[in-house]
Amino acid sequence: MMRLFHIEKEKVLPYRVFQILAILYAGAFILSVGSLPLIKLTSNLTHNQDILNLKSLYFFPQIWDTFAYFAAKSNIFLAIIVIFLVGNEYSYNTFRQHVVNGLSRTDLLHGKVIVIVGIALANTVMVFVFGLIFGFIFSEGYVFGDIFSHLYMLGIYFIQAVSHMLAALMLAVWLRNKTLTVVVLIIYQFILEPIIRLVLNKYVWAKLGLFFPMRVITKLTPMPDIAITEMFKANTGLADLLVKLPLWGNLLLVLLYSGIFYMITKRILLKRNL
Amino acid sequence: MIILETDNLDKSYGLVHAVNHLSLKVESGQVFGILGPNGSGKTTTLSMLMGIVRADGGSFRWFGDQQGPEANKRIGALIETPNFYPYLSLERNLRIVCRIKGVDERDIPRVIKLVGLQDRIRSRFQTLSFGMKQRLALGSLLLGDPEVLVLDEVTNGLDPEGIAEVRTLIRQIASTGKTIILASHILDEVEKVCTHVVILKNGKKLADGEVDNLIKGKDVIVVSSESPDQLAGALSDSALVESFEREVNDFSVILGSEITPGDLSKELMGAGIVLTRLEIRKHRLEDQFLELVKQENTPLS
Repeated sequence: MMRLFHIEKEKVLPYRVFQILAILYAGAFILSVGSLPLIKLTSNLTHNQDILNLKSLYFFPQIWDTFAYFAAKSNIFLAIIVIFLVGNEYSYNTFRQHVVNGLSRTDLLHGKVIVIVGIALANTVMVFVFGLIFGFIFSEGYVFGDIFSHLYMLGIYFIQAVSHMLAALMLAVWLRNKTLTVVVLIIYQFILEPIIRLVLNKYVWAKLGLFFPMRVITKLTPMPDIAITEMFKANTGLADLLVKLPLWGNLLLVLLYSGIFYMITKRILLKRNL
Repeated sequence: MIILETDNLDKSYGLVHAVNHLSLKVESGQVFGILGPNGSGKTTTLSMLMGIVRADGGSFRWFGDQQGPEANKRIGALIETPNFYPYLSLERNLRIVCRIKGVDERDIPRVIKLVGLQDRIRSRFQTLSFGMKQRLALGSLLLGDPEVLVLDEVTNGLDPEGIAEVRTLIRQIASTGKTIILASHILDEVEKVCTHVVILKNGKKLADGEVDNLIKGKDVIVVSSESPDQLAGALSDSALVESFEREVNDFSVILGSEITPGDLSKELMGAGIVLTRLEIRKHRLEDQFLELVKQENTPLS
């Protein structure tokens, strides 16, 4: 375990693309959580016009829901990091060299799982720290015991990030080419699966789409229950689109999919020539 | 001690039978050459032995009973190209290898110096020339002083100076009693550094044995005289001559064992034939190798 951790650390941390994508991810997160308070602080909205209801978004303990949700929105960056790291191993022939040097093929997989868990953990810590900072700035009076009552949402976010990256790992090991894998993941996640879901929902069963992997993974952290969504629901008929499975149901499905991704990746790695 | 034993190792890629029921045995201290033209299955064989290509059939054992990661850690292997992270320094790249092999990082300066890259240790791998990359790969496989080296076409793409350096390095290592398995399509290379050899063609073993017996063969001497026809007659009558070939006025002669060119000269002189030329040509290696490889002509080639 520690051996694999050190090996991965040596090659991941100095990697420029990793550094840039990590900064992009953190930047996207800080922008998304920072923009609402910024608008509020710099505008002269009267209380009645205040559709940006900071109270429900940035106060303890709801802030954990909000921040987990916003952080998860940029998880595609994490998936791309993983695709680059795995694609490199193929384009540099280093998976091959590692086995020649004495790693097992299972070690190759577990090294990448360690990277995935490490990235998810680092991000969870980041979200936690920003949550604390924003929470203490914006909360107007809170019960101390309440501060951490929604903290489990960060655990949900952690699982979500891991499973999204496991999906990326499986694709990258399967396709062995980082550009192709990034394209395939983006097309699948944003175009192909949504179309399939729409078609199946319309012609087979209205809830079938809810069980598809990318839907389950990307929607695991629920949208915070905020004024803005209530308004949209009422005005735009979006309510239909907000049909969802209960959190625990989604969580079970995500764990199931993660297990499947892991098993498929392992099978490909063990069977195929490197 | 037996270092490596393979038993009917077999591998096909679609219709191409890359390695055809190959059985080998390599013993401790041998410099074992795997010789064959391009596409004869050398790299595929080594790839199977190092666990990066799955065999379709047959089996192999390193060190009597090992296979996989535990065996690989005791072997320094370079298959095809040097594989490192281009964006990392030489030092970091070697550190990764140390971690994998369980070798102390303090061994890095030693191997870096051995391959003459100490001035570049902090350079990124991608800034090296091809020859330097190959040297780094050689240094990398020496980390931890492994018992066995596996080298696949190590001199490919190197300039003559690089080739000479690498061969000297291999001979140096071999002289310390290490076992070396070396694949090459260059006969000269195998002949210069190997003690034992197996010759492959289309994945099949054509011959194996000691290099001295198998490919070094006997020296050829070239003779000519003022009266070639008379010489031809004398050569065909001589008991000293094993065989000869006439090329216009020159004769390539292979002598019987223990016979020296001087013996032949003396005999011919006695028969009244004066040689105008007597040249010892060190064995016709290239010819013999091509001969061996030609015997096995399959429709694929």
